[in-house]
Amino acid sequence: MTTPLIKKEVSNKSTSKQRLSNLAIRTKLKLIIMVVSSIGILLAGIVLLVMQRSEIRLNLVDDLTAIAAITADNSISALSFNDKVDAETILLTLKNKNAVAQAILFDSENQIFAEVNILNNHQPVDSSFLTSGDNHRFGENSFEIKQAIQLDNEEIGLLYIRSNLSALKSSMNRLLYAILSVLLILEIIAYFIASYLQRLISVPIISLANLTRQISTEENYSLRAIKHSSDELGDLTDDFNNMLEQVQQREFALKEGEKRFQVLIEQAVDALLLFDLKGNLRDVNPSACSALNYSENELLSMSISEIDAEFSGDALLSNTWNQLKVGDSKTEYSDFIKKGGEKYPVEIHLGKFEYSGEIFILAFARDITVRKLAEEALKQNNDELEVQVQRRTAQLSQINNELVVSKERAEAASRAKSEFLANMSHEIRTPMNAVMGFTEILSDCELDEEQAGYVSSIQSGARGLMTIINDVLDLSKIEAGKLSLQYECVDTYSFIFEIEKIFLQTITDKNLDFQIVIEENLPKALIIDQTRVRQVLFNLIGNAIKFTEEGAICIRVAFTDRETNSASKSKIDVSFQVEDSGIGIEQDQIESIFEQFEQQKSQSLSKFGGTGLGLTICRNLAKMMNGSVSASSVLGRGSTFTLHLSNIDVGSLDVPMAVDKIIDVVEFDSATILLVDDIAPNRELIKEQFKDSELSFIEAENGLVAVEQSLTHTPDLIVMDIRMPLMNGIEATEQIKTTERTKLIPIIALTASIAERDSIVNLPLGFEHLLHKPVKKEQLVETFKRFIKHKINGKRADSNVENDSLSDMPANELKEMSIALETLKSSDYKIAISSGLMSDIATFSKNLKTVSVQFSNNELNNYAVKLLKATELFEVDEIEVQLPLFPLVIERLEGRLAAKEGKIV
Amino acid sequence: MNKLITLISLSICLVSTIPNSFAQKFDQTNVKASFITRFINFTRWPQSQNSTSSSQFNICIAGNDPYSDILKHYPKKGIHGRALHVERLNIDMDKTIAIARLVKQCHVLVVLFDDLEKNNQLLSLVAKFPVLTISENTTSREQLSMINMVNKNEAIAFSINREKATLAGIEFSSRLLKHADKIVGGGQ
Repeated sequence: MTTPLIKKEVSNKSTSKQRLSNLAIRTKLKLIIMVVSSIGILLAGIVLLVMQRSEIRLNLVDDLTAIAAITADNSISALSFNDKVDAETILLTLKNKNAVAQAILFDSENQIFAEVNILNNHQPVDSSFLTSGDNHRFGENSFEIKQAIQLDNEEIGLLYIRSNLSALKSSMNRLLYAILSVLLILEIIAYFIASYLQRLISVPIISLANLTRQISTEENYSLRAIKHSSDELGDLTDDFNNMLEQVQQREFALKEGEKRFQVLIEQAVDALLLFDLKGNLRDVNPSACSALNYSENELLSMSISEIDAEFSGDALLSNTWNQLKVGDSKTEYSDFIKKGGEKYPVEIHLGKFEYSGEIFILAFARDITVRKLAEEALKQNNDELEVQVQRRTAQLSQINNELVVSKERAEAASRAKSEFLANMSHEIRTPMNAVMGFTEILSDCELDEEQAGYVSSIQSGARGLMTIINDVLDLSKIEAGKLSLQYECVDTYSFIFEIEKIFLQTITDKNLDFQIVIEENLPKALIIDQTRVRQVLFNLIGNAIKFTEEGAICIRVAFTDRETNSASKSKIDVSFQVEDSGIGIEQDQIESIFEQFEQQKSQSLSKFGGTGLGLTICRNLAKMMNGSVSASSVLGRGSTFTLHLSNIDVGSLDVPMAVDKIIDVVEFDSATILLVDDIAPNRELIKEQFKDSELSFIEAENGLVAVEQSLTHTPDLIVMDIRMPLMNGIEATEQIKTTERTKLIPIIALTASIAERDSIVNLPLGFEHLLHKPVKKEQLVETFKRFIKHKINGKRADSNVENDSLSDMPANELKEMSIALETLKSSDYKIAISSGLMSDIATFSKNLKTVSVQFSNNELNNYAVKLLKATELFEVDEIEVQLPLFPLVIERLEGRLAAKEGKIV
Repeated sequence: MNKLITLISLSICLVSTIPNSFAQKFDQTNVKASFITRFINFTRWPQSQNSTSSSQFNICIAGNDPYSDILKHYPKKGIHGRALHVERLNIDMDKTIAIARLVKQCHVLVVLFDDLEKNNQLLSLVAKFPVLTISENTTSREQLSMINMVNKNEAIAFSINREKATLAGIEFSSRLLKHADKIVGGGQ
């Protein structure tokens, strides 16, 4: 039963709340101010009242307590002397004081001694109060107080006073009325203030509200609110005006957009159809009307299925639309039916969208009659084209096959031509040798001037013919693939200066300057086919001389490192640049001059001659050597031809230029030498240098093979490279020296670095001799002489030369020399080795020479003189070779001494 | 003056009508004893007397003595912080020096000889002593004691001779004076 009541209450509450909400803002503001001020004043009044009441009561208590105390004191004597009259008189003084209604004086036995009833208000005294510990108490309408009367600390009586509170109450009432009056007055004042203040807030708001209403009614967004103040309401007004500004702009943009959209729709060539999910047309554009021959009204009363048979049937409709999501679109092809039943093909773009809670389909239908016709025509054309392409492809394939055959034939013919040319050239050259040889013999014969002139002409013609034949032969060989390269270790500097020597005379004759510039630190030895490199350079320099009448010819040799992982073995790129100040070549002819039988157009054949094969051969040879020949030129200023060779191995041997003298005089007996080196050209060079001797060579490319070979062949001498793959020279030497069968085989070390050299010298099972790379043939011959029997200038010589000088030496002298040399080794030699200073080495050499003179030892003397000379001439290389040999010299002497003393070496 | 006449006449009437019973007498004796102690409350002695036997308050009784038994038990707490001591004096009027020596130790001297002459003689003798002298129902023409208690109707009244008190250096509280029936010397 309570539920409806509660509901009713709730409904009442909500109604009153609603009513409150519906109040005008000015009323609300007034109400708020009034309520707040009323609450404030009321609270202040209540507090004041309570405080006032409390104050009055406290004052009453204080006053009556004081009065009671005085009265009690005054009553002491009356009580002491039983003077009731006096007592009453005293009590009567309480009249008119704090509304005292009754005053009683009790004696020490609690009997009433005197009593006064003022206002005729006698009431019996509550004895419980008199005996209680409280001094005073407030009753409903009265206030009671008691005061003990003491004389000399003895209680001789008690004073009781009762005060009537009606006066207090009336006083309080008066105060209440005063507060209420003030409250009322304040409320009235608050009302007027509220009325004034609310206008400050309500007026702008009401003004804004009115403006809003006016804008929404008139849709006039150009109106603006008037700003009344600069506070938050002022800001609100500004913001409202800004918002209106934006709304106005958007309204304008929207209208413009709508207008534009309308124009777009109306001007669209495609038919635009808007329909709902049931297929009912809701909007169309003029193009749709004209395309379908319906009026707009007719179309709007129709369904899409009446225009497009594809959309007929509810199921199809619902399926089509359901598949499409809102916001998506799809393209379909169909036929539209015009008024009258005629059909035409269309491409329809369908889009689904939601507007005002309803889902619509927008269809853009484009008449594709023309396109369809064009497509068909295109398809037909394509088919025809395809047939044509296939036919042409077959023709091309046939031509290609024919071309391949032709090319093969041409290549075969070319090869045949080259072979023919080569053969022919050879055949021509053979008789030419006879012609030239005999012409040379003829020229040595005694001839008269005329005959000599004829012979000279024959010689000149023969040489020219030989050059042509050689060129043709080379080119033929290259083209026939019959030219092979012979790589060998070449002394780079000698190679270059040899070329210089050859051309120097010709160049000087032509009054040209000649300059060779070699890049610093160019390796001393390179592994190249020097014949072919020389051939290319001869050709280039020959050309330069030929086409230069004045100025200079400069040869520049430069290189770039390819590998720097090893000090002695690395690969470099080398370029030889031949620069001249000759007639130069036109830019467009630079490449053509490398073609066979091509010459510069301006080149006078009669003046310069030539076969036109030289540069072709150069380029081909360079290509074979993993290089290239390139040219640059400025017409009339000169040309630069560059031979660039890539990836050239740096050799470790040096080729002496003038060793023939030594080889001529030293004839080695038959002996077998094991050459151990991982670089084949190095081995080949040594073999080549001694090819005319009785020496035979066996080879090993690393220490492992060397150990095997030494066991198999037991060679007379081993030349051991130090740094090798698989097993290095030191390891191999150790193995050989610790093997019984091979331990006596002398081993010559070939080394490149100082560090290696030192470590080798200090080995307990050391090498017999040490050579520093690059080694010259002279050094090799000198070294071999010590270990292999030989004849010098036809005279028999022992392999150990020092034997001669040592054999005659008495053992004690030999021992002395050995001690002297040991002393030298631990003093001067040690200083020289450690300091490396020329002065130290010179001192050592001089002292050594003294020792050698003292003991008349030629070899020692030669060694000392060689070292001293090298020191004086600052031949660092020679010093580096000679100086480390000293311990070996001592070792050998000691070995000899031991042999003399009958010890086994 | 009117008040005094009224009191006196009222007292005469009452005395004549009230039977002189023992009980009444006993009550009056008690009241008088009480009065004696109250007199002490409202009296100030000269400094010299205060120093005499300061630890107790000596009440000396000469002549008839109805009070010593009562006063021995009263008041229990003493007066002005001093215990009450009641001394009954044997007075030989011929021995004035001895009397003087005895009285000199007293703060209060209650003179209750039946013989009026003896009373006056003793009072005259100690007139200059700083001793509060109290007599009872004296009939002499001149009140020689400082306080004289009289039965007035059924109550007890007293008269004060301020001249005698002043002579002995004793002062009375105004409160005491206020309740006195009669004040001799120095005005009312």
